[in-house]
Amino acid sequence: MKTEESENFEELRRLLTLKRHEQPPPGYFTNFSAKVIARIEAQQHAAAQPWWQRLLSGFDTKTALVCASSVALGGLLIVGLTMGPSDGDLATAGLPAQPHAGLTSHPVVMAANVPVPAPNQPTMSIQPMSAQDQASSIDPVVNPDAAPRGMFSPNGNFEAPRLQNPALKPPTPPAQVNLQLNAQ
Amino acid sequence: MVQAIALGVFSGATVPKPLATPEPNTGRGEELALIQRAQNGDTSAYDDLVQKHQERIYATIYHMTSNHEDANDLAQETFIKAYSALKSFKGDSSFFTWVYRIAVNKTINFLKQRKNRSAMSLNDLDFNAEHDPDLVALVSDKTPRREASLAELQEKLNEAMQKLSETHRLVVTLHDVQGLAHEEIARITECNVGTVRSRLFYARQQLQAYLSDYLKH
Repeated sequence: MKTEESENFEELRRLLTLKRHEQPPPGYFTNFSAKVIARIEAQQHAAAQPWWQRLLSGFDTKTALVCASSVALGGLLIVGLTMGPSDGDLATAGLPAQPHAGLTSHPVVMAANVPVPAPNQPTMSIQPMSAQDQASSIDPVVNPDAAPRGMFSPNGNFEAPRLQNPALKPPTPPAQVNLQLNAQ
Repeated sequence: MVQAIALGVFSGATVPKPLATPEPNTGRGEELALIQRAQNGDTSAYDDLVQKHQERIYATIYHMTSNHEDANDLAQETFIKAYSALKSFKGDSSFFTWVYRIAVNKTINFLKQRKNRSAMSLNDLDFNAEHDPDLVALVSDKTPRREASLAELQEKLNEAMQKLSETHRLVVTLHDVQGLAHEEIARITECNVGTVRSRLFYARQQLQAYLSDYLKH
């Protein structure tokens, strides 16, 4: 049994020798140590810089722009909140105050003096008309002759505006028929 | 003796501890000199150290992740972390073991944080794979195209490796792929040799079950 296992492991050992033949691309090790040394020297150079230069070198342009934009927006928001009008400024400026402020600033007596319209009744205000308005709107009804052209008049006539195109003129009434009737 | 004296310089201890397992093809004294220069800020000396260990560190991470890009990033970060922590290297273990430990910890943390398993990005097989006697013996006679068969084997093997837990995959990688001894793995993973052996046995059993269709019985 032991011999059989050893033989099996011997086959496996032979197969594992295949791993030794796996080689990196040609010339890979030529520059390997140079790359390592370059990275080491870069780290030493970075470590020799002052802390603020290392901090700046850690930022790339895109990150810096995003941070600057965020700071600017935040600053604008803070300035807007601190410099904006307060509730007291709104009351003194005659602007409607916020609901909670209105309840405290307007007394109940003032609300009782204001006439409140019925909920389902339409409200309208009647204002006296000026003389010009009266002439333009009442005259056509009282005096039909004064009706402006193209407007309905109460005596049943309708004065249409004169057509400018003669081809569209309405046909003339038959005058001969009336003559014959008169002769009879 | 020279090594012990050099280690004493790094650790500041009066009685230097013995070194870890000797590494093949490594001049220990030369490496210690490089470490000392790197500790004093000499990056060219550290460059030499990186070149010395980069392939094995990369390979270990690659076999753990089965992804070249991840292995590239983690290997670079391993050596960067090692440089920044080089002052704290006391020489209690070899530099090789110390860097390996950093790489292993970094890789396991990466794999645990990676919630969704990313797609594999496997490296190509080198030319010698087709002529490896072990692999030639494994290729089935039923597959006329050997390259396709090796590529399929590679993919199935990596899939099976990714099914193992991180600790079991690490032991298989370090022992069966990298060829490290049990004792060295125990030092890297900071556990005893018995644990390494039991993990290795269990991991092999799991792999054997996953790859039963590709193993001769």
